[in-house]
Amino acid sequence: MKTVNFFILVFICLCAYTHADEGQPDISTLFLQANQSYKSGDYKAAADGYEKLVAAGITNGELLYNLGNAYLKKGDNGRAILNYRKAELFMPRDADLEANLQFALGQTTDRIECGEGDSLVKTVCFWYAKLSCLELCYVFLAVNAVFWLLLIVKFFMYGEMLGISVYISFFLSLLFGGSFSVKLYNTVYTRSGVVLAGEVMVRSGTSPSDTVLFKLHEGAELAVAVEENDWLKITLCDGKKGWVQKSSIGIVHERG
Amino acid sequence: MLGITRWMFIFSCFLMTCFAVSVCSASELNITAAVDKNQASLDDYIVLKVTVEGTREEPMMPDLSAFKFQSRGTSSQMTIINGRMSSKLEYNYILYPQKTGAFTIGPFILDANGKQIKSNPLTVTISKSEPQDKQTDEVFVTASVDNANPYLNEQIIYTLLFCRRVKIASASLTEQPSFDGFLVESLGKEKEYQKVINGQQYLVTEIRQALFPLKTGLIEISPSTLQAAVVSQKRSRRGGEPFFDDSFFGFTESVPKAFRTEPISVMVKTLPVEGKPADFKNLVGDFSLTSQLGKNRAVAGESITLTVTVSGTGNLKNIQNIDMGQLQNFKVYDDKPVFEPALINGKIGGKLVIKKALVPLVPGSITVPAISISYFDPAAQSYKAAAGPASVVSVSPAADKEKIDLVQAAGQPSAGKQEVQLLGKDILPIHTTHTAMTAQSMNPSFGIVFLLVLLPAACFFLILFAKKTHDRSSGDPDFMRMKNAYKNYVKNFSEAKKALQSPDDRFYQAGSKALKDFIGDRLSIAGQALTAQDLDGLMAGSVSAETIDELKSLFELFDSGQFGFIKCSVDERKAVLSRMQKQVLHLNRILRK
Repeated sequence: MKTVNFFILVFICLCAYTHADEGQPDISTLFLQANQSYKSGDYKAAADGYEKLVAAGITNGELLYNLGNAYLKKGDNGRAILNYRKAELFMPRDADLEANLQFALGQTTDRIECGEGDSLVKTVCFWYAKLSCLELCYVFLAVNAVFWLLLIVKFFMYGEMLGISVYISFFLSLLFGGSFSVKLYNTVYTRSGVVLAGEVMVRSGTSPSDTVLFKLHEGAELAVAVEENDWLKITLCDGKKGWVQKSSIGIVHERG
Repeated sequence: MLGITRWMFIFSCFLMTCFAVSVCSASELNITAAVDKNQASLDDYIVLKVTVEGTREEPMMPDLSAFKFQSRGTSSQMTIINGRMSSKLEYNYILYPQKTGAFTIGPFILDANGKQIKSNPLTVTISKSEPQDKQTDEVFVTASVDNANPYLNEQIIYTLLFCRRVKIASASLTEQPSFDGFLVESLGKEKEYQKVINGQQYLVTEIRQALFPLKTGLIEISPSTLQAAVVSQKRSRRGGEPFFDDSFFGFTESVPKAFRTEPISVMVKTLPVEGKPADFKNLVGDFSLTSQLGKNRAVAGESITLTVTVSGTGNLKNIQNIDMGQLQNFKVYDDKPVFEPALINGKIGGKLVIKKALVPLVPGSITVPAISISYFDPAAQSYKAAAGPASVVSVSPAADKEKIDLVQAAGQPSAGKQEVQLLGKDILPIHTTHTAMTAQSMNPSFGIVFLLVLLPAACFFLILFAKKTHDRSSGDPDFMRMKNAYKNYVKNFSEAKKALQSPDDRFYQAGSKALKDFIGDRLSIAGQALTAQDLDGLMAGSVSAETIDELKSLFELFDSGQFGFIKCSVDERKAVLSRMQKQVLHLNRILRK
């Protein structure tokens, strides 16, 4: 009786699997189809295909880069920049991504003057911008392990160089630990966004009748400070502030 | 004396603190906005004051797209009326109208202490500036072009004059004219000179720009706006001229004013079709051309430099190259043209030098034909050609008799090299490898990171502990005895257990040895020499009296079994072992060296 039940169960599983296969192409096929659509110039189909993969839970820098390309070719500059920024979180040193992002940013309408401070920090703490959050974590763990290992070695050996190495590894451990913590905090708690609509009115409050402070156009990048009833309080890097409707903004990384 | 001073200081601080607290608590939040006038023209300006009471938060600016605004700083005021204190902060702005019509300014929004307070909105009406004879004003700006009806690509000069016969504290061009439909070239820095206009002497600043129309039809150059702080005399209360006519003594004041030029209409004519040469490439102006060969004698395969110089006024930058057509018996390589701009009679022009490397392929006397370019001369209203003379090169055969062919000519250095030019812009392609399908994690798992951070530290402390223990045990035999006390006891206890059925005194010996050795090991003394009477001295204070009594009882029982005639049954022996086990476990917990 148990054997019969087992075979029935296997049969049901196989049927379900076959049924699922027939209804929807697998992710590899979807990926190949999207690539083919892109190459044949059907950028809308390519973007739809890549979006389906992202919706299926595949979060990958290269996939998001392809999605950004498809949107850019389609003429949807805002979504292109949004997906390039998302891809940047996974592969911050990718030269193709950087080139295409700069191309997309060059197509935007708004010129937002940012201070020099941010770029100075990026130059001095170059590893912060060049490494992803995960990579920074790995470096920190490696340096931390080396530090403790050297301390253990110090029990059994003595040497001037060993002492210096302990101090250096301790300093590096603090440096990368701090960098990783800041990056993790920024990734988890800071929200940035991109304007997806052609033109959005930035108002003084959360009502459509509030005064229009300034306008932003597709592709403009901003930081999200507060969310309140489908409205976002945004800040530009030049210090301008105001409220916009959430539906017109794409969020690069949701909190949490 | 010092004590009084210190108390006065403390009292003053106290008073100031009370004062500050009372001001903060007494003031109510309020925001008001006011303008000095509600009607103004495009040439005029409006002074806007926003007064904030009860906070130092800056109000949020409303939409002021109909104006250009400039901050004039802030002023603060503190008043005490009937013992009630209030603080005010005034934000001052100058608004320069940019459009005509009725506009609402505000409300200004103050976001303080979680509350939003709005100011009163203001309405202002902006009218067109009244036409007047500017040439009689103390200060005026004018804009003009030297030719309002030019041909396509013909150079015209746009001149902006800023004339004044009063002192100006500062001036800046806040609105540049839009030159849509023109190619703009600067004609150098601004010039400043004196000029008599309508019998008055003016100081004039002149800005000139060369414009090349890029399309035909009517093109409008939008007005420019100049903002300046005009220094004027303060009227003396007593009347008459002030003695100290100098801003240093405070008898003058600077009044901000905006000055606007009139828009300029330019009607651009098409170039005549009649007589247009086939090689005409939109060159409009007045030009001359010279050409010169580097040498007139050469060996076949040797490079000769042909220098073509086009000079004059006009859109000379339009010439990228000069087509020489198919030159018989020569291989031609172009060099990058070099443009040297220059001002000629107040117009932009210069010299364009084009160099070509000519490589003769056959020996003999070869003619380099005359080179010419066609251009349209607006002054003569006709097409003209600027041409250089034809030249003859005497080419001798190459020494090694090798044939000069295309491949060899292509191998010639530098003469034919060009800078890589960007012909188009596009994005880089998609990634098609299957690595794009592997899900990546953006943030690490907190639990794993926490574990991996702590793991090396834990290993370190574990090894530290082990090392310390090892160091201690290797140098301290008493510690080792204490540590192994229970282990030895278990061995002796099992011997006693084995001897449960023994008819002789082996049970009592083994039991006594187990208990005494255990206590001796724990206290680092000779266990076998212990007696019941010693227990009080050794354990009092650290072990309870009941435990000592129980131990004494066990000691006596084992001694009686060994040396007396009392013998216990097996069950009684089991009970004794159980009592001993209980006491040893208790001692193992509480007895430390």
